[in-house]
Amino acid sequence: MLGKGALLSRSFATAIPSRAPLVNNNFRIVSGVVLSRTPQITRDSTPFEKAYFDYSEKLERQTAAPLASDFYFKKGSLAERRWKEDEEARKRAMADPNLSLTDAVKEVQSIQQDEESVTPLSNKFETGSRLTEADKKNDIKSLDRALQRTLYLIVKKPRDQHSWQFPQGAVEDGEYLHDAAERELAEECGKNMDVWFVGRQPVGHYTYKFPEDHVKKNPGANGAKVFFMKAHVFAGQCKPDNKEVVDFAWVTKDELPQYVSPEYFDAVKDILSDL
Amino acid sequence: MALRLLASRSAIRTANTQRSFSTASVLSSSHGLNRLKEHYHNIVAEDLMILTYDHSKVASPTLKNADLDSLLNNALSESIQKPVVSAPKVEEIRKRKGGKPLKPIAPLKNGSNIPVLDKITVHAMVKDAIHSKNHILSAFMALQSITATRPEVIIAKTSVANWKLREGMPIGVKVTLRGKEMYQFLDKLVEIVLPRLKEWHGLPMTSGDGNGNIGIGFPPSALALFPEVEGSFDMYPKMTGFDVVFNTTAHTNAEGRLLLSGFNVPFKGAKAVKKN
Repeated sequence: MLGKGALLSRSFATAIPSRAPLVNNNFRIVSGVVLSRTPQITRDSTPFEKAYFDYSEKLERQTAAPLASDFYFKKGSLAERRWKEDEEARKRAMADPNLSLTDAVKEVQSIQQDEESVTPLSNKFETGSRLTEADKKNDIKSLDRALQRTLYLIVKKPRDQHSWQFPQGAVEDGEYLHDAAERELAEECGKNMDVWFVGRQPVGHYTYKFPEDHVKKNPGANGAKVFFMKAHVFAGQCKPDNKEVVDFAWVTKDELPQYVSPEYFDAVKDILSDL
Repeated sequence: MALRLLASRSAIRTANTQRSFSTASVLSSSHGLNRLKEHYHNIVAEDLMILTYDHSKVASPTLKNADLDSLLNNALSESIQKPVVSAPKVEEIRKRKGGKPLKPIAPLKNGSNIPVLDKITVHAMVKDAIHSKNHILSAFMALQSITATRPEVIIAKTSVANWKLREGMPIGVKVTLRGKEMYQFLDKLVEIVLPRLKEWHGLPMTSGDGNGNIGIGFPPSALALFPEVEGSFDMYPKMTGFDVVFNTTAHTNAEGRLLLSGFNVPFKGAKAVKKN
């Protein structure tokens, strides 16, 4: 039913006049986009998880068959010497209840790497920080922040109340929800983002009434039903059009209540990832 | 309970009654967490649920035993409304062309049956083992190295005269991976081995056994691409080809492929749709 108009509009390449917004039972149908940046690094383990892992690692070692070292290492090779050093560290860790196997080996290997830097055999491997510059500056516009968490794009509309929300816009008559979501995102946040929509079905909805003076000025609909479409961003950055949208932020689920109203947060909290 | 028993045993072994871990706060790290497992539970599972959602096959969230209840409801409502003329037997309705085995009925969709990777089977048939059993050893060690699990030797079930194979001969090796080892192997395969394969652009879009399980065959040269084998390549007298089967709990190939592509296994033939 909705699809016919969309198909027709595609087949005529010439510009068509903008269509009327879709209204159903006095509610305007609106398509919202829950655009997320997925976690970039594995989350921190909890102290309990770490303790459990350390314990099961030692348990595993106790029951494991011994390594056939003469199969894997040539006699007198550097690799064999390294492995023997690692093995010594592991034996030390087994005797010490407060030292984990992984940490003990890591320590020895960092010493080995330092020795290597005098006579470089391979490129030195360095682990990056889990906190970025954006985290330190608390730059909410950066996609490099909170690498362990899912970030969601919220945009600010030029008005006093309910200004922050997910990008959204009215579905036109004869348009699919997912087409409307894509179009609205491109209009409000620019085309400079590599976005993938997860399916064509909404993941949640939110119904609200328009203020009375707004209804008097623009008759036709008493409120709106927002259907949220899920999407992931892979590259690029939001560029607000400064007309419909004046500002944007990438926030985690925990930070979202600082920006949106409690009713809005209640409606969307279950479709957002806790991580 | 089992954990406590083991704990007490290890305490005796180390002759130390002190608890072997501290619950003090740790440095920020993903120590002990499995990258792909976390990825599945945090991102892939949710996306799969949305992508495979089907309005016509959705279980009510309030029902405990969704499939059974809906079947019962249907049966009851039908029997009340219209008397069944001649109920055909279930076997008569569910029949496949050519007498093929029946496929399992896909359950109604709900949050508890999102497709998940169940196990990975790595299998190598060593044809040279017919002439000399010793040829198995190379494949055995190679599979043990790349999967960190001791393989089992496959014994021929039937004789094949053309191959000079007799029943009871060792003919191959197999490893079944689950849980932590499975995700570690998948990680290695996707990040290190698949990108280095020559002239391979991805799994075909038609892959799958019809029930959501997907297999890949690898040439002998691919074995040398695993970092564990690469380091001690000279120790293996012969490289063998092997195949990897991903067993998923998906019910269709499309769902199985979706799940694997969520782990970055490449599929070819999916052309990018151009949009103006």
